[in-house]
Amino acid sequence: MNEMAFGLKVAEHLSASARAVDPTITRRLRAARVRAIELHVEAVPRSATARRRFSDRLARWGIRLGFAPALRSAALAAAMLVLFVLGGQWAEQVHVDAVQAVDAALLIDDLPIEAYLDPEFRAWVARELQS
Amino acid sequence: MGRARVAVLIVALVACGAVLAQGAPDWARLAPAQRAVLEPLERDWPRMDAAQRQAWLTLVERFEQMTPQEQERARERMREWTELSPEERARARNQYRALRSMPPDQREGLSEQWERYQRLPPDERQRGASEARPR
Repeated sequence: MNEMAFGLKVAEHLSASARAVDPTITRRLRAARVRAIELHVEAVPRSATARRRFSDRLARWGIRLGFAPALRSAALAAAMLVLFVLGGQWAEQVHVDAVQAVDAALLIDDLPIEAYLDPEFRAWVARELQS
Repeated sequence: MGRARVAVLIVALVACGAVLAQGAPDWARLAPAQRAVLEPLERDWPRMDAAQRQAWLTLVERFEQMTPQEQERARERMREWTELSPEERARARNQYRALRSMPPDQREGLSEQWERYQRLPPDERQRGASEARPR
């Protein structure tokens, strides 16, 4: 009897023995297996599962797009650069908008531009209002 | 790998440059409506930097919401405004913000006060101003 035949004999014997087990014991064993699987699932943190799923997905995309790790880091650096430039542009735009609003108001104001350039006028107005 | 990284960075920089350059069109590339509004600035346009050009183009958008009287006034003042130095413009903006932050009833009288102020002799203007400053 070679090793393979011996293994099959053992498996056959074990299967026959398993069928001979008392039904009550079979039910208890089944319940224990189900409980053990439930406990294992609870033990794995949800965030860790989600993190693994996300990284798996990223890896899949990387493989699908043919990204080499170095190219991926270059793309990340480029994305950060673009974000930095766009952020700077946005801040500059906010400032320009505020200045432009004043400029537009100055161009159509009742007072001439000269009035806003005269440093004495504001002080004189303040004195007039106090008196 | 190093070459790929450099290539991606160059492409990103070129793209950013292209985005920035879009905001500063030459006079010939302006729309007819924009040229009509900015006509007083045609001579100064080539000397303006991208930010200044963009600021004036933004004004064109505001122009449509102005009354005909305001549009006329704005056209008259455009050249005057471009001839000011950056320091003078900053001073005018600051003074505008300060005077316009006054209560509405005081603000309404500014035109009349300007008329009066202009009629004063220079020494009296300065005396009045220096009296007001220490308080």
